[in-house]
Formats: sequence, structure tokens, C-alpha cells
Amino acid sequence: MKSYENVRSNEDIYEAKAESRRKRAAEPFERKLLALVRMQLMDYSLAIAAGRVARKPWHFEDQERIKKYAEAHD
Amino acid sequence: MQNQLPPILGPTLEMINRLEREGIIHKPTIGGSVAIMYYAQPVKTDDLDIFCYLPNQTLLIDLSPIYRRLEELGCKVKDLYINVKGVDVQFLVPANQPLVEEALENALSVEIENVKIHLFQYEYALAVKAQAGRAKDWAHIAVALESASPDRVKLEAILKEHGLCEKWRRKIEE
Repeated sequence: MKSYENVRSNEDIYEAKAESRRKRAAEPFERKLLALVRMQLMDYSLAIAAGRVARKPWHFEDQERIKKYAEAHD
Repeated sequence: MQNQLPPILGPTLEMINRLEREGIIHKPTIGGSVAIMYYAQPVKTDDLDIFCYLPNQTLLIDLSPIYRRLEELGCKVKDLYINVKGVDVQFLVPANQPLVEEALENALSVEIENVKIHLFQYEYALAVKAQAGRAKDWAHIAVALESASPDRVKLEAILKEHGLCEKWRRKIEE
């Protein structure tokens, strides 16, 4: 994986981003599920902050579940 | 260790499998964005798409037996979705949709959080999304292709069979 120290062009950055996406895709499905719920949470928070109505994230009523899940899979 | 964890999808999938054991649905299969996410990088989606057959299905689709039973089991209906153990689920039935039927027939059997379930193959999940053809579908396809490569031969054959080649090329390859 490239670090910021050896970035010399935008191409380097795009390449590193693509590599990171491929790595993410190859992660266990459980970790990707966790990422999905976090995206839902972020989307929900932004929508509420902007005064919009938004769908609640999965397991919204039981966030302790997501916290425990994250502790195990992060 | 993982067995003691509170799962995200496991209880939802168990409940869906229960509907199959009770004869309310047949071959429940994960499709949509969650199926693509199984193979590619995650993207945000609000619901879990479950494709299935209904017993004695006619041209008119009646999802009410599914919703009725799930409500009896304590699930809450929210518009077209139903919240099953914390996850919003959308049930979809193939209605004169040969591609969806083929995707269901060729679904893989996988285990997610210790629950067995069927899942669209990557290439079928992409093709079904392409057929839906909304802007967000194409956006998801593009993101998925960046992170995980499908079997090109298999995908081409599916797209060709279902008249999606030109649409695909126009949207993805140009």
C-alpha cells in the first residue's frame, strides 16, 4: 500500500484508492455488513441534521448489538 | 467467538428461512445491493432484497401471506418494507421476468452468520441491477466493478441472453 510520502502524482492517489477498494471488496462479508450499517448511520445523522426525514439504520433500536459486533470485527 | 456475537443479518435470515419451512415462500435468495456487496466493496443500501417464489403463483402477485405471517411473528410493516429482526426487508417475486428466474435458479448456497441462505451469483446480481436500470443501479454497478471483477464470459452470456449488452456497453464501457 502506498503512503503519502511516496505519492508523486494524482495517478498515484487513484491507484492507491483502487487498491484500497479491491482490498475492501475482499474482506469478510461480516466486516462489510458492519461498514454498511455505519454508512446507514452516517446517512441518517446527516439527513436528520439537515432537517430531512430519513430511514432508520438497521438495528437502530439495538445499537448495543452494532457496538459489540464492531468490537469483534473491526 | 463469532457464535456468541450479536449478529446483523443472522436472525433476519433465520426468520426468512422459517417462512420457507412453513411453505409461505420458496427458495428465498439474497439479491440486490447486499448480494453485490457479498462480492464487492460495500455501498449504502436501506434494505435487504429477498427474491423468492410463491406457492401456486399466478400472474398477479400477492405478498400479503408473507407480510401477514411476519406481522404475527412480531415484525413491523413500514410501507413496502417489513422490519425483520432489525433489518428492513423487501420481498420480490419474479413476475414474467426470465432474468430474475434464471438468477434464482442459479443461486449459490452460502452461510452468513451461521445461517444457510441462497445468494445470487455476482454476474446475475449485476445483470438484474442493470435490467432495473435506475441511475443508482448503474452507480452501484460501476463501484462494484472497480473493486471486484466478475467472470467476463459468464456476464457477457447473461447480458446477451437478456438483451442487455448494448445498454451495458453504453453505460459502463463508454
